[in-house]
Amino acid sequence: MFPVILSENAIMLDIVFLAIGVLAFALFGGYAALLRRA
Amino acid sequence: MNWQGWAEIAFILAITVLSAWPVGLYLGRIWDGQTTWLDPVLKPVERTIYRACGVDPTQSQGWYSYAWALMAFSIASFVVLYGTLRLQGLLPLNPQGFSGLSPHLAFNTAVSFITNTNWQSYAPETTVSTFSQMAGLTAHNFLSAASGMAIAAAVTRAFAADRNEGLGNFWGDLTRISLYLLLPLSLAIAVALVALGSPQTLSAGIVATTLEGARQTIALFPVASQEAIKQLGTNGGGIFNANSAHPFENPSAITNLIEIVEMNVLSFACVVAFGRRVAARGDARALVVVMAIFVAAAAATIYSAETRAPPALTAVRVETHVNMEGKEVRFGAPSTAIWAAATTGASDGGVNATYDSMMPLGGGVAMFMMQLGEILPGGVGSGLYGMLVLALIAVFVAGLMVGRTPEYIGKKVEAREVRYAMLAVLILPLAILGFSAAAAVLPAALQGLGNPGPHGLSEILYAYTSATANNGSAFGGLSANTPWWNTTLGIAMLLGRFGYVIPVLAIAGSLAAKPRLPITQGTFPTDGPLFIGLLIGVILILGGLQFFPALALGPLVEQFQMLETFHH
Repeated sequence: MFPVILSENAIMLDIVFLAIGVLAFALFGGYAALLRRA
Repeated sequence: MNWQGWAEIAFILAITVLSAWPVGLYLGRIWDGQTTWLDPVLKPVERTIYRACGVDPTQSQGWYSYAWALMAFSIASFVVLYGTLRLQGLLPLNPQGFSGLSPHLAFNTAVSFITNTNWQSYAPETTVSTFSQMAGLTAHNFLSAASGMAIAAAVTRAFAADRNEGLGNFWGDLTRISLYLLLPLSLAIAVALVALGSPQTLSAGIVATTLEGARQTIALFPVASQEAIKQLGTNGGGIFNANSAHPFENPSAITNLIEIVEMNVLSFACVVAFGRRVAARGDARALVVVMAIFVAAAAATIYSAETRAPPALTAVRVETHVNMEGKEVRFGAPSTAIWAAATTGASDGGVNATYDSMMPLGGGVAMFMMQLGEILPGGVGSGLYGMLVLALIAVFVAGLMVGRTPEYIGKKVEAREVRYAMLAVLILPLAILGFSAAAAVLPAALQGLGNPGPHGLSEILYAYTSATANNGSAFGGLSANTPWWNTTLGIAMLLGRFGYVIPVLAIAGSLAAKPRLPITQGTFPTDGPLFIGLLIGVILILGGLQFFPALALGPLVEQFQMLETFHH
């Protein structure tokens, strides 16, 4: 009866997938910093 | 195979390259911030955007700052697009009443559209609302294409610079390319597509009664506007699952011609703009020749493979000389062949046929074009900077042969640039072969395959190749809307885009700081047939060494198996 977005499981998955995306960009940022120092 | 087919392929390729020249000259003006004939209308809009965003477009950024601006823009785009897709059930303009996408599908789709890949693990007409399509996906068709062209502009400025570390301003480039190039061209093409039969409507669809009396819903969307930028920005994500084989996306032979030209024109135009901007027209011409040779060779191979009697049909005594399985009867083999070469060479990914149904050799060529790095002519912007990376490697190889420090377009190419170039090109095999190896043994991945054996391996390889190369075309036969495929393909797309762009921008930063050297008697000429041959060799050897073993186990062995089976 609740929209999918409100279910506890979906919110947890949202956090996981958003985190994967943001973490990927953080790693790319670290990669860029590494190349700048090289 | 007939002469009309060959003439059609040659005509389409010629018209694409020729139309790239004026567009490239115009693009060069946009990159330089020069006046254009659209200034009276668009200049006030441009100024308003800068004022609203607090951007000073004259403030030049170093490579690191430019890279961070790109990434900051991409992170924000990813989060907003993910939210839009998840919440589309609660958002307006949803006449279809679609609920939000699942988390893994929203992740895959958001990454796909911000990286200019447009891989689609879903059937759009039954999944994505009109609002998500227009405000989310179509908007990123413009923005991701503009990002790629902005990076190409930055790399171009690096070659033009003389001891100057500035590469331009990312926000200014993004705004100007979107406003002055992509929007007006897309508008003109969208109007032409409407005139030629593509629908452009906000209604959800119409219900029709078939001759047998069955009721059928015919989905409708603002198709023409999405189709125009889908092809122009080498995006490729269709509004219908059948993509450009659908009569609403691609109603006739004329729209088919327009869409093929659209797919490649801006990528060639970037090279023309580069040649103009760095005063190296001969060098730019050489790059255009290399790109055109590959597209022509790929189209010829596919056309030849698809216009032989299919052995399986011959075995059951069906007389046909064309493999029409998976092809649109409106377009036939030549249009399918040149489209396949153009879309896989250009990181577009839009399709007008099903590549899973091609002969193994035809499908293998399409895959190989992507594995060569999406440089032939490549994605908008990414084709140019990808090709320049290969050109640096080619002059480095030439330098090793003659024992001289290599130079390319007035810039000394030293260990640092070659190291970064290798980091960039190694991203492709790392992601493609690494993920394919895992998928070939993991049950969670294998469940999605439509075929066993070599064809199944081709499906796996094609999917990761398409994602990493930011192409987005699908082989068919693979059910990719599962947590494994959506997540890993999403990560492959991120690696293919940003894992490649960062070292490229680092190369640009390094080159910009160097002085521009004059051409002397000892400079290796990079505008003649010798360099063209060397560059083709480097592209083929790099691609061959990296991917030939995997291709040998997929499409190549399948081709031999097919011949063996039906000849006995």
